[in-house]
Amino acid sequence: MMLQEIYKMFTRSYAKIVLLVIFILMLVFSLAFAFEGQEYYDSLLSTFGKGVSFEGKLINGNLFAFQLFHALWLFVGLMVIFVTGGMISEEKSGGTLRMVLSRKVSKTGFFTARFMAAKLYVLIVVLFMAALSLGGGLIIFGSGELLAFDNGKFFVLTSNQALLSFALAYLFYFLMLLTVVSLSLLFSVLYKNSTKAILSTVSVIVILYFVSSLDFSLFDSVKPFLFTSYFTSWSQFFTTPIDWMKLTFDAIVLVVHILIFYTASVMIFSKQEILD
Amino acid sequence: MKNDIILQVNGLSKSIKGMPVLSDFNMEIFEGDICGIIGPNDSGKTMLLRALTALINPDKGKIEIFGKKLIPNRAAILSNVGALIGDPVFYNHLTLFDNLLLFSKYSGLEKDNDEIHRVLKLTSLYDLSDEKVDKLASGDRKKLAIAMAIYNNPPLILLDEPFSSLDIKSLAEMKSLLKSINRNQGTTILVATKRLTELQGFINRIVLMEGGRLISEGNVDELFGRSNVGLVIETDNPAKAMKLIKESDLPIASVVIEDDHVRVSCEKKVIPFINEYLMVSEVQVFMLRPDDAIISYYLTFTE
Repeated sequence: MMLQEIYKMFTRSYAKIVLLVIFILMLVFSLAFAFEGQEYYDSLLSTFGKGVSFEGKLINGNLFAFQLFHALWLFVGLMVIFVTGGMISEEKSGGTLRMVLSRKVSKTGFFTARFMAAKLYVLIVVLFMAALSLGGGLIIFGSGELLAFDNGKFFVLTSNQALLSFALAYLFYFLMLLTVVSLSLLFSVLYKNSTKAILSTVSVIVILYFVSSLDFSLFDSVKPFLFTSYFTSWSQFFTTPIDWMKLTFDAIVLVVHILIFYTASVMIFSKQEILD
Repeated sequence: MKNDIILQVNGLSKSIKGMPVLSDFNMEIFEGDICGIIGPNDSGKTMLLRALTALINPDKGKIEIFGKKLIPNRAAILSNVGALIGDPVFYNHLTLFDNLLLFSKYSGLEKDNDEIHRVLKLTSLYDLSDEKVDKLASGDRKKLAIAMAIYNNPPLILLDEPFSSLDIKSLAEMKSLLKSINRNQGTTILVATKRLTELQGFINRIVLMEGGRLISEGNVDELFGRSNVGLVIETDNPAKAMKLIKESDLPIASVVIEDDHVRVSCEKKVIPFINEYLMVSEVQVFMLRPDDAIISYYLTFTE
């Protein structure tokens, strides 16, 4: 059944529109990077004083992909919600869920197939992003050492180190997007209206991400339990040395959230009656 | 000798937001029946079909299909049921062919291009098979839903208002198609409708519903034997005619006005007295003609 759901998803125009938007965003960024990248980074390095210099080719594919990742991660997350937020609610309001479930398909089977199709879609989005930003960047701007920065610190990674960091960062980002998608599917199960499902997902993410970003100690005890606290953990793969313990913990928290959202969705969906 | 019971409903009750939509409903359908489930709007027909396909969970009661309880055997049972419940909706961005393929997969069937072409030909939709569904007229959507229901020859077909939106030619074609499927393959067919006239000469069994309750059930031939005859009276003043008949001492089972005609259900021997009574009362009777027996039977229950 998963194949049917994948087929349905990829024949929808909005699934392709999201990929097109990502492509356009990348195109816009690559133009700015090509024309003003060197100037921008020279001025950035100069803020660290005259003693800081970078030998080799600063503007390269790795830096392009790194910067693009930073520029796009939130937008791509939101774009994915537009696709997955309506995956169940749209079938409810359109009546196709009634047509499907009057056949032998079980509700759990149907939801799981949609969930897996959403997972595959997210994987394709991440691979698309990686191929265009890293692959495209390396082709256009060439390879070289990566001057990465995180929390006000600079890190210089060799070309090989950078490739490994990108692979791990994309993997972690995939996990983060899966958490977002799982939440959007939960709202999609709860609501008949796709817009409500999408808005609810975005609202929850905005509020929790805001709380996660606050520096006040009032929320310190809550933050470790919020999945939004781990949204930018992928950037730590570009630091040295990598804090594996912390990143493993972060990944586990996201997986636990995915499981909670999935289980809650299945439990709610399997009890819902089809009255439309 | 009666055939085996293929579908049995016992004491089925369901309330939605405190309102009963099915109340202690009982029904038996035998193998090879073409059964009409007839009732006005909100009589519970669609809810009954939703319960038969496990789209809703009954509060009380038991449903058995093919001799098995529906709830623990849902998947096994529904893989042998062709169903159209509620308005037919499809994936509009896909073609007719792709929709049929997709829904056949949901029924657990393997891809079978020949079968898709067969049902599209039977429902006169073959020429549209590569068109997207959003371009279909409402009548063709109904036909596509019927094509999905008859796909792979299921032994039981449940159809909710399958003939509404069909023009006269398509209605005759679809009834003839379903009749031939019933005759040639012994397929049991349940058709729920509020338009009794759609089922004239089509069903052999009738289930009448109102307010979520069963009001009558039985074999059409048997019921006609013990029912009154139907009579349509065309007069210059239908309202006066109905009032006079109602207030008379004549043994009338029911009298209603439909389409400016007075429809009466009564014993055959009463007809001349009705005619005479109306003439004496200065109501001009233009025509007296027999009504469909099913309709007159239905009217005796629903007046």
